Amino acid sequence: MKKKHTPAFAVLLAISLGIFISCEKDIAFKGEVTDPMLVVNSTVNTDSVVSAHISQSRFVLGKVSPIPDVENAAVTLYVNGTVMEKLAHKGKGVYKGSYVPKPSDEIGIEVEAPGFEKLGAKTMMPENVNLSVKSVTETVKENSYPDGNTGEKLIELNIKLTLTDNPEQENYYFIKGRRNAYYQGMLQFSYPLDLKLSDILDNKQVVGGGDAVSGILWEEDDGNRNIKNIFTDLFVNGKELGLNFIFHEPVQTDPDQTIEYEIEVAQMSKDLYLYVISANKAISNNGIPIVEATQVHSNMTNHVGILGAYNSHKMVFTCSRDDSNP
Amino acid sequence: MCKLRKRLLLFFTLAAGTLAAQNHTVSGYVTDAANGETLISATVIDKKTSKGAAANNYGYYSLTLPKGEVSLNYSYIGYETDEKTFVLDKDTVLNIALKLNNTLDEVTVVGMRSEMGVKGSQMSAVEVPINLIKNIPTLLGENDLIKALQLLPGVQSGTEGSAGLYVRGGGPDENLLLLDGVPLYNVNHMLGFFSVFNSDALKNVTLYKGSFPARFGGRLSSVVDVRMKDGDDKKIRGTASIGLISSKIQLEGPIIREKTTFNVSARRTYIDVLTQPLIKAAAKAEGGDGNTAAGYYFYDVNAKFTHKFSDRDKLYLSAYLGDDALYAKVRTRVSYNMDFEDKDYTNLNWGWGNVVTALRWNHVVNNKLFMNTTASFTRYRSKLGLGAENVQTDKSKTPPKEEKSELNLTYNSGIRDWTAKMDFDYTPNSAHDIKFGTNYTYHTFRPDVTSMKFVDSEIVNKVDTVIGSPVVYAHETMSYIEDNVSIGNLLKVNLGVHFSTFHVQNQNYSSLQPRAGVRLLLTDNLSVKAGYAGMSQYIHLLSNSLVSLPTDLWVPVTKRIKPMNSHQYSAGLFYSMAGIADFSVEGYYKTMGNLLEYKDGASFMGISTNWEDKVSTGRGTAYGVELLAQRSFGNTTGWVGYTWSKSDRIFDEPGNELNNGKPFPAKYDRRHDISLTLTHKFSERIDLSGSWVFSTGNAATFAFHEVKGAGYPNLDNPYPVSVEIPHVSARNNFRYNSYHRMDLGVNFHKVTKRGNLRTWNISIYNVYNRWNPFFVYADSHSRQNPQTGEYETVNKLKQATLFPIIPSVSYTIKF
Repeated sequence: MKKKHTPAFAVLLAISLGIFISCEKDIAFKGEVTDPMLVVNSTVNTDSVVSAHISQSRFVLGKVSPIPDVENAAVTLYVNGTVMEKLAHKGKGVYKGSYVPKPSDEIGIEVEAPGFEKLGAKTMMPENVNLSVKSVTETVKENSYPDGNTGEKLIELNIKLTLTDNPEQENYYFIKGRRNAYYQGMLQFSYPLDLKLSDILDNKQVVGGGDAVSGILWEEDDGNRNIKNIFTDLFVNGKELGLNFIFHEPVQTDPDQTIEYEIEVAQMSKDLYLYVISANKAISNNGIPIVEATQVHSNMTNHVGILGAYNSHKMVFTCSRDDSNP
Repeated sequence: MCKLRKRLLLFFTLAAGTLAAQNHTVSGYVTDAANGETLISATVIDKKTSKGAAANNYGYYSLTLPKGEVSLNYSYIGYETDEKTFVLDKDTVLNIALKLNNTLDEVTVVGMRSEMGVKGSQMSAVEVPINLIKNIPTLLGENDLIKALQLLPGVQSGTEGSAGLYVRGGGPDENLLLLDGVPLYNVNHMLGFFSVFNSDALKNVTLYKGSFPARFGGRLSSVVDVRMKDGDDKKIRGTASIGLISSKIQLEGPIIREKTTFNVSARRTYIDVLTQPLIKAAAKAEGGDGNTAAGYYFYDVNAKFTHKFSDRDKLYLSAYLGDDALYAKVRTRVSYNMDFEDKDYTNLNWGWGNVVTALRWNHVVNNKLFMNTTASFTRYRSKLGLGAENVQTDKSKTPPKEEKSELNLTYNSGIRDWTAKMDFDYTPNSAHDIKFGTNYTYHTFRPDVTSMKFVDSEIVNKVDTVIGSPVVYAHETMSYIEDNVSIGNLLKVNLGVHFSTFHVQNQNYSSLQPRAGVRLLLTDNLSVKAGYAGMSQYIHLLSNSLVSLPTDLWVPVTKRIKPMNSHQYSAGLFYSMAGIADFSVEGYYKTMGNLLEYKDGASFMGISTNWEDKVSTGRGTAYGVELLAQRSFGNTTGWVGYTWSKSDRIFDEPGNELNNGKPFPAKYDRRHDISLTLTHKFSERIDLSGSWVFSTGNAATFAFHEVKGAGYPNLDNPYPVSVEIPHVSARNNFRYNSYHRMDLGVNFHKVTKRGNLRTWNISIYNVYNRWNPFFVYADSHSRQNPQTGEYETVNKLKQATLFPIIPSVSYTIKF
């Protein structure tokens, strides 16, 4: 009896496993195809004039075409409730003005474009970052960089900064760094530094700032999506936060060459912080079926796009040269 | 005055004494004559006075009657009625053993609680027969308690195949799942496709969807009260079954006949064993060295020991242990030019599971007072470990130079409870059935802890860090009292109050929750009922995926996160058509407050802030109408249920809005839901079962637009770049297509020469191969434009189905 049943069992098992595969089919979209929405993205800061990029949304289904820019919008800039200027279109949906925001400015944008409802948003430019240099030390190390070459000297540049958080408000920060190489005073190379919050921050409670932000506020010129290291003052409200940077450089002997490390610590508006976090998550989750699509935070009246602000404090540190041994 | 007082005192004493002297109490246990299992809610009615009582969860009953001749009728559906006629002239202990009704075989034996029927005061509750659970055809032949509950009106399942319960618009964490009175936190195996309940170990299951008795608390939406079998007290018997993906064995019997019993069952899958050769072959084909192992399995073990000291004292020890494990180990080695070798080793270990143990003492204090004392421990934990090691060897050097880097990442979360409780059943007379009790729980929550260690021989500094939310300790107490009062023959009222406290992080919360239920008997077969229940919940489950993941976090209320609460009103009509079926129509309205959802962009792990900062609080409403027709006897049993329901959420807390502060449908808001379940016994050798379900589409969140992100082009750069972000206009803005499915199963029975019962079960899941939606996505493909001849990319909506038609077979032997 057993022998009769065993082959049947095995066959059924094989068939069952073969059938157990995912099936897919095209389905009709039964919802309403809504009109395109006006999308305004503007990230203002204290180092540059106010600008905004305006485009329209693209419906996901159907023929895929480039997302069109909107080049005929009227963009009005408000500062502290008063009309400051109209932003002029400079091409490719980019609108620029001449006003450079100051800390604590209330920045408002109002956009009108044919075929779209008027929309706008407001944001506050954060205060200046309270950042000070605690110490900068350079230590020469020999052969501490295991590249196989002997006799090479390395400079370990240790920069300690202190960030003092304002206890009166919620604060959101990001940290960036760049390495700039100059030759005869001309910038030759510049690339963003791969900084990790867990290495930089003295206070481990703050670790767990933000996820890497892919493609948001990224450096246009090198394609590296390297703006990250975002954190809040949740656990360090009103306290002093130590920032510790360690860089290694071969000792420079060429008098024409200069290496700079540029550290930028910025305070972001809450809306920008929420936008960055949620947009990054929306991009990361896109295409993963078991994770629901993420709504991206927006402070625009039509709930698309962002008017964000950040105020950054940049510090530049130059590596020493060994002029005694050209 | 003094004389008057004395006379009054004497009068009342005599009166009380006279009254007391006229009543006596009959009490005892009602059990199954064949195996000694207690029969929960078996009824005893005195034909002369029409007064009656029901046995409690331990099979104990108490009925106080006037002195004189009594004719007691003991009954339990599927069993022969036992009648005892005698002169009641003193308090009497009468233990009854009912015999199975041989005209109805086991497949049609069901139990129906009298308190839930037409004459009971309990509404919004259903007892699900274990034998029906075992016979309902299910996915891959694995009969499952939760899948059976999902077929009841008012209960939605989650995604295809999942073990989630969404009861009357509530979430999956709003269900109190009790195994012999001890809560279970995660009842999912295999990402929710199967539950942790092994039906071979179970005796009784009751689902409460509303009008909750005061003895239950701590969750908003439902109580699933699961009772394990005690074990046959007369002879050793068992069941062994082998199926497509798992095998089970169950053994029960006496250790000391009619005194000490055991009931042990175990189950394990063997998916990993079956797929191992395929995985190794695939890895080798990809260039691996064959040292690849990967797999998934789950197991669970249930055990229960019962010792009867006397008719007054019984001791129970029960335990559950279950785990899921997902593992992968890959080792590769590549050589270049004989001088250079690169070795990679990656391993993943992901385990999650529950441990539950309980020690319980039943004591009959006196013939009117029954006590149950329990001490228990429950633990759920999820642990994910990821390790990666890379070794590069340069053999051209002397000695060979090695560069090594190693990363180890572990993620832990879990919850532990230590609980002590006492429950009392007090029946002073036939008009009152009073329950009261108290309970203390010490919780330890470990929401999320991530530890990371990274070592690289090329980098001087190593990273060794631990981040995450701190462990949280909490104290929870609960006290209750309820009385089921019969007022005349027509009116029955259940009044109760549940009081709970929760102390965490120097924060105290308390909640007084009134409960009320009333039944008005219109005729002998028709009644109208109404109920109200206020509920509070001090723990939440955070989840942000469509399927149940072991990374879903159980977190307590804190200073910032307040307890969830609900108010549910229900009313309905109940009709019993003698010999045919029971019918009910019930409406409910429920409001919920302090609900939690992840904020947009939050996730369970990674370098992120404390979990409290990742959630928003809001509120919800749910209302609907449920129709149920249920037949519990005869050769054909089953039910037909229909639900119309609506459930919304709104999260408009300033600064923490979801969906821009606008209302949105709840995750599994389905407007119409129909379920049909039938079992028919053709003969002793063949029975057939089937189910058909239909529901309108689930709500889901879909990004129908794409927009440019804030990385706008720099005009100084001739190669402008920008990022495109999927845009969601509203939460749960999309409706899947309707879901419907038919499952069929047939059992072929045969009694072997040795007297064992052998059963072949053949079942088909999704008989007509309906491609039901599991998820929907936009799929790109290229096509040539017929007019321009140019190739263009087109996105179409695509629907993926998880389970097409799936046959299965299993073999079971009962000995």
